[in-house]
Amino acid sequence: MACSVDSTLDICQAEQDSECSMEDENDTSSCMDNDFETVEMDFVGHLIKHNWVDEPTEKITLTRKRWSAATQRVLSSMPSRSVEWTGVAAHSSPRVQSQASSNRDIDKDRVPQRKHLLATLQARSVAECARMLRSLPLSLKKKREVRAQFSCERGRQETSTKDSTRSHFPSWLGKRLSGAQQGVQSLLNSVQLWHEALKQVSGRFGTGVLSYFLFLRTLLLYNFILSMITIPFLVLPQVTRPSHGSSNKISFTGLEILTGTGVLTNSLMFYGYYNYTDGWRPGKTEAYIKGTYNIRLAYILTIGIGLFVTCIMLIYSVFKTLGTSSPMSVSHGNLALKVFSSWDFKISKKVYVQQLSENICTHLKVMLCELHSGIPKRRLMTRLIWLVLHCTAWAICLTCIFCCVLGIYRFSHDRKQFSMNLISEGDTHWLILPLLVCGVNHLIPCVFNMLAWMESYDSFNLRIYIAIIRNLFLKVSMLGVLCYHWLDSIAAGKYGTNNECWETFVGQELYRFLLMDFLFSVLDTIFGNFLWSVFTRKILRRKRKPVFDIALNVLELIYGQTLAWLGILFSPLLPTLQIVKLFLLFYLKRASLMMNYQGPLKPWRATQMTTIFISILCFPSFLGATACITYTMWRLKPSATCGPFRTLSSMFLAGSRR
Amino acid sequence: MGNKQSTFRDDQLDEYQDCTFFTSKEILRLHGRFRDLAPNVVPLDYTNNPDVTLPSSLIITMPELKENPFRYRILETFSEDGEGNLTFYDFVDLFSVLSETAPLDLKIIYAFRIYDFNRDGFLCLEDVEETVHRLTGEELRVEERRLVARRVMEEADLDGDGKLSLIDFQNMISRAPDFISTFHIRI
Repeated sequence: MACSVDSTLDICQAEQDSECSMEDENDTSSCMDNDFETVEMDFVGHLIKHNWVDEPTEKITLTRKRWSAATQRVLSSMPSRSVEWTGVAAHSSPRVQSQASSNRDIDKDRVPQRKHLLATLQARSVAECARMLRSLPLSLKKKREVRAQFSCERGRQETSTKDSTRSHFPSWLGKRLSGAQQGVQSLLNSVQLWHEALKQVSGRFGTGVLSYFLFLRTLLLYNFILSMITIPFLVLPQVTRPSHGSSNKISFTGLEILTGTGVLTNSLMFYGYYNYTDGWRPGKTEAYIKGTYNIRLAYILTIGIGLFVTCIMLIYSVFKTLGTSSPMSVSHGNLALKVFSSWDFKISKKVYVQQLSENICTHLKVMLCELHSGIPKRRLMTRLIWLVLHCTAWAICLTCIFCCVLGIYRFSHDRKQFSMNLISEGDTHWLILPLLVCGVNHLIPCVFNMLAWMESYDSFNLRIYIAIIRNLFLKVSMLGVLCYHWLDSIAAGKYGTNNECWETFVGQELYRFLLMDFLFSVLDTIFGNFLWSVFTRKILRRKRKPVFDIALNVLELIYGQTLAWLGILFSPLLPTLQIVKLFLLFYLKRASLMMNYQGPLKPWRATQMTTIFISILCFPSFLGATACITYTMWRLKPSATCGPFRTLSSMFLAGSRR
Repeated sequence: MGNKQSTFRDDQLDEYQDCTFFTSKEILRLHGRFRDLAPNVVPLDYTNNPDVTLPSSLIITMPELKENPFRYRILETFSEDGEGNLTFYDFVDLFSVLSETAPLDLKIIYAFRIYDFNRDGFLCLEDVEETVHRLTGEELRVEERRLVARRVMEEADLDGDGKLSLIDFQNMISRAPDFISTFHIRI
């Protein structure tokens, strides 16, 4: 019976579209009327048979060719599928005015169309039905009625047909899967962390600034899942069977939290602690005594699975954001888009609504001026100057980056000499490199900002993209040179004599970097933002507070996350540390935002930017970190005196020995 | 989920989940918000689907809608009687369409209806002028608004009939990269 319903459907929206456009009548309303009439023509017999039709309301005048249900199914999933419903939408109002009843729906007048809808729904699986039902532009009341009728009819069909063309198993499985998917979805939604806080932020600052905090929350989720994988399988078994470390007691001073040395060296924090040999004596390299829990395999598998799950989630996010954003369109000068899509419905405070109003007004005026007088064509001289200016700015940027990279490389290479001269005792000399790198990461973007101000770009979006590219280049170079330094030093055996456990050392380095990055963010947020806000208001005498730099802050988040991913192999608790850091950062940034900043003056393309940032998180950040980790596990020989892999020549061989 | 609450039956919550973009927890939260507007009128127990309508004057006191220049049009579009008085179904529907997960096509249709001030199924020059007026307040003069409206019509009216049909509107808005994120109210 289901098949017969399908065969009588035979309306295809996209073909409808193409027919309409081919006819080039520009009379889309008549096309839609034809659509309805055809539906009626096809269904009258079927509907009367089932007593669904109250009475036909329109005369049947046209005949059309039939489309197969398969075609319809394929084409109805295309973006233009809503043409049929747009017919509903567009024609709802004129009919309504002649009736006193429902304002929103025309089902009273379009009963056969409802039946067509029911039949379409029956041709689909349960999940697709729900999805289709949700995207109908009908009122909720009508949707409920459709749903009730549809489930009634479906139930009737399933019980009455004996040899149904659809076997029961796939539909049962479909129901279970959709139920499971809904369960997961509702679980994720129920953990609505910071819902009220985010609403407050979006009410005052709009969608753009909100996207930064949503990004932060997403990173928190990734780290949480990573921690959930590593802690039960890696950390907890090690906790229950503590390894015998060195017996001399090391005193705990507060500085260890910062440097990661001392007491923390032989702790759960770092790789060196993880071994599972009972009866290990310091100084003696015994063969690995396997306990009941194969820590080697667990180590490799947990890290591998954790990274794999993160990869899946990232790719899913990328595709989800790609799906919602339209291709980059130049909306410069497009007045219509400005009028209809620039109002941010999330903004709810009166002051900010007024500000948004003024912004839109200014933009409209500028656009009108440009339309009247045209965009002034630049003279050749101006163009030349502009070109020289941009080239100079880029040259300065690249020189800056190069100098910093060279400096960091030299310093890290000759760390011993430099640090011995400066600080002679304790482990604080280890903090100098992170200090330098963080300093570079926070100060050089200010230089870039000044250059951008000097260049004075016409297009706001172009300025944002250039800023992102420059800052990304800086951070990638920094991380690149550091990774190179570490891998190079390990390969050259520099850590062979001084530090017996190079993995722990690298873990400690990354720990220090992460912590220093956090400290710098805190100081920057508390003092830097506050001072800058005071500076702009008192000294530069601007009436408004400065604008929150979304791009820069997101790139900082990505940088921090890359460090966490790089360090997971050497310090399994690093994602947990990152969780704490992100948590604190959220409240700090929000407080600073409320105090020091105002909403964006120019519209921020949240959807596009989110896509760009997620892609940056996926491609250079995550893939780079994974590549480094894979290289380390594959090519580098684990140190012989610490950690679970100490007798192997490569970490990947963990699975082979028994 | 929702075993302990007595506001809705389980099958009602399933219904809501199938027909809107909300989970049952969010539906309950919405019910709380709806009830907060008029605790004496809106019952706690919705298992019998009581027919309670709240007037628009009460609903626009919600902080999410209070300062929105299109608040009356939004209420009128989603209300059953066309006057802006919402039942709970209309209320949920409103925030469902304006939620994060609603698809672009659906949002475009409702945006079209909202901006259609004279409710004739098309965006004519007066509708566009009124939209610009609401967006900019009194900052622009009447002639400037008219100029903007005329210019918008020139840019977006593809079939040249002097008004924007839904197809024209769809074609135009699909090029806007951010419509789906700006046409969103967090509740």
